[in-house]
Amino acid sequence: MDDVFKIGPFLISYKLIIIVLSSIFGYFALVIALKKIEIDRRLILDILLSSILILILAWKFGGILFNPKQILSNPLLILFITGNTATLFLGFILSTGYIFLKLYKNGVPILLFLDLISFSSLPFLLIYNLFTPMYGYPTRLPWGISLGSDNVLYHPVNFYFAIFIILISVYILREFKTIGNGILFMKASLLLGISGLVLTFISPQSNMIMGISPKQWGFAFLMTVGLVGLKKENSTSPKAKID
Amino acid sequence: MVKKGLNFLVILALLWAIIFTINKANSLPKNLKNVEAAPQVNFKIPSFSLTGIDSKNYSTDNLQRPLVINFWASWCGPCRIEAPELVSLNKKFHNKVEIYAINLTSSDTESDARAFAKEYGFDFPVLLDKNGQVANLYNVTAIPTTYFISRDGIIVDRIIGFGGKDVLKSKFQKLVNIEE
Repeated sequence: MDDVFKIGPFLISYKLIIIVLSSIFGYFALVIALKKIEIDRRLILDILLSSILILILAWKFGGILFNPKQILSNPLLILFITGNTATLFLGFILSTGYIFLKLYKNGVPILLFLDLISFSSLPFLLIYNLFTPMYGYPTRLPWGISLGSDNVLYHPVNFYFAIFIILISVYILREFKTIGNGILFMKASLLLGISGLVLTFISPQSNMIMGISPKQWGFAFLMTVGLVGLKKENSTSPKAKID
Repeated sequence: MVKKGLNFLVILALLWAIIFTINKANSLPKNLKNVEAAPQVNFKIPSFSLTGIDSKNYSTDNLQRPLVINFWASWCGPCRIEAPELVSLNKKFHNKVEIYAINLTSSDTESDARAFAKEYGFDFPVLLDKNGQVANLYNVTAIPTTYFISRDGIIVDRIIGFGGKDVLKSKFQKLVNIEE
């Protein structure tokens, strides 16, 4: 599959279109969830959109902090240079910090916000995985996907993950009444972590860090967040009122 | 708070141990041997043969060391910023990593490509993709695009655009580490 769509003289990244499409689905899922609870809708959406903007800006322009000498010697670099893992990490730290600060200032319970995030991220991940092919190891199973020639079929890892996400979403929706104490977020994290991790074992991994891939680190982190958070299941945090 | 942090680390360490063990048992290289050629990470490198500006023929068959393939053009701004970095990395990783700088001659001119290579002191093979076949084979839609290939011909990484001096250097280093 090509990486870009060609529209006349313009090249538009396929991945970018999928990310925008997935974000739209995630946004509307969040709006629907917000309608069902008593909370300042505009405030939550503002915080979320601003944090995404901070993430994108830090990813793109974070190079100023990491390579100040290089950027100062050639300011044009700031336009040409693409973001990397370090600037993405910086973006996550800054946007997370911003979210916590805004929530604290406005008296919004953090656990409620985390629960709302799971309602937004599951549809996002579903759409993203449905349209982004990820090739696993070769398989003889009839639903294997090919790279063009039909000689070799590969596990459609993205579809497997999409199926897991649908199942997790159904489970989380059934538990909607518990929104507000962070349990939905913890459960979603744990289940996404387990399913994602299992799928990494049927797909080639690269760029290993201490013997495991960045994806596996990410899923292990999610699982750990879920496991540690669920230990606090009997938390006394107030639940949000449901209309 | 400290206890929670400790719990977190213990669980993460346990998970790391489990994943590490499964990865080892999974023997990735054995599984990759049967993978077909495609311009994607973890797939075999699509093979090609091109003539360089030194009139020698260069191909991807029988690689003796890891290979970095860089697609560029003389009119491309980011390529101009990246060029000195490639020269410096070639000096640093000489004899450990091979660089093929493929000029998109189908959308450039041979004389401009030669002038560019001379201006920046390219001391690695500069190949001319006169009809754009290799760029098509590698799905090159933006330049610079750089592929990092292990000695056994597997694509281990790819950068679209100029990722910065440090990112480029770390990818070279990673390529060398894989072989060691």
